Amino acid sequence: MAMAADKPKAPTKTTSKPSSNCGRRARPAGRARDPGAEKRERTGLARFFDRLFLDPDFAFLNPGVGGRRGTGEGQGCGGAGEGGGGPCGRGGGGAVAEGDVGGRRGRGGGSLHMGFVAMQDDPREGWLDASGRMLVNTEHPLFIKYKSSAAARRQRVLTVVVTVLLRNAATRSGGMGAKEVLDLQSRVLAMAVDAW
Amino acid sequence: MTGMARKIPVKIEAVEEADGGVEVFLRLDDFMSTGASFLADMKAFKTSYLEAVEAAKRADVPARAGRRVGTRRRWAACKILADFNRAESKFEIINYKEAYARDFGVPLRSVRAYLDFGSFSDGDVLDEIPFSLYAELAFRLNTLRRAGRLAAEKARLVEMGRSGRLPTRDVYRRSLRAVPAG
Repeated sequence: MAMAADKPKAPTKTTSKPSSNCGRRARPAGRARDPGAEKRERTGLARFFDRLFLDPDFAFLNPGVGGRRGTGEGQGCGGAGEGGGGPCGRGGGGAVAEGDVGGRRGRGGGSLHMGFVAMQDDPREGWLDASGRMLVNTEHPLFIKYKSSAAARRQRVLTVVVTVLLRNAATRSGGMGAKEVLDLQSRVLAMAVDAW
Repeated sequence: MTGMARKIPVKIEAVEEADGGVEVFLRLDDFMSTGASFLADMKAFKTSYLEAVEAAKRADVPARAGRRVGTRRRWAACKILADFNRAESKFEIINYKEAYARDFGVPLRSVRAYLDFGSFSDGDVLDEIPFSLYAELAFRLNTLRRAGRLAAEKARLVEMGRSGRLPTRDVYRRSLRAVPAG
């Protein structure tokens, strides 16, 4: 999954046969050399969303978890040793185990990923596509309005991300009213600004 | 980092709605650190990616209908793809295997062999040697490199090609597997 779905680091069990090179692998020919990439740490907002999705009060915002908010006993298959799976939360909106925020992770660390598409006739600012990836519409009037300023654009995109997560959660749960959604949006955005 | 600007890791993923059928995805953190030219940079990168794939596809066609793709033509195609992700750019594709497999149209497990073949130098590639033998060599590239036998093995293959004594793929694979890991 492109958005939300790249998991935080979790220990993974390896079942592969021991190899003669002791786990060292030569760089593939198509790979650009980037010595710092593998040690890159997630910072700021990515860490904020990781923590948010692990918080029982906000775990239902994780698009990789299909449960409803506040009911049921939630069951995940992440946590230690099960890092590579896809979204696998099920049942209610219980606590999500660490390493269970959906999707696979790769080099560069797990994090929210987003794509930017130009859809002039689409009224949406952003959405999750059928594969659960976050897409931001660069032809939306608000995005165009703010695109010349990096700071304003970042703020706008953060709002879009939070709005899309809330809309997705509200659609899934079906029990959230407009007031609850708007209040939650303000709350999450305020928390995100602190992390930014 | 050693004096090299950090590349932004991105993914190239298929998006039905997007122009060209693919879109560049980046991490939220990386997006937050982008400057004012970010959208133009992303668009230019996507365009150059699509152009590289198209150029590779154009190179990887048989010279005549009904014939196999010539080895040097395939090498030229592989070289375009191998060079693309190494090129000076702000971005680095982290899912390049999936992206090339989907957009260039090769099996996922063969992408690595294609890219390794693309890294061969001009003099190592002969039309007389079928790509299947180069693929076998590419599959064993790391083992040969660690054993310090890569250059010698390339020279041996070229010599066999020039003298017309090429082994079958299975025989060649067995001979490569006999090379002890370094």
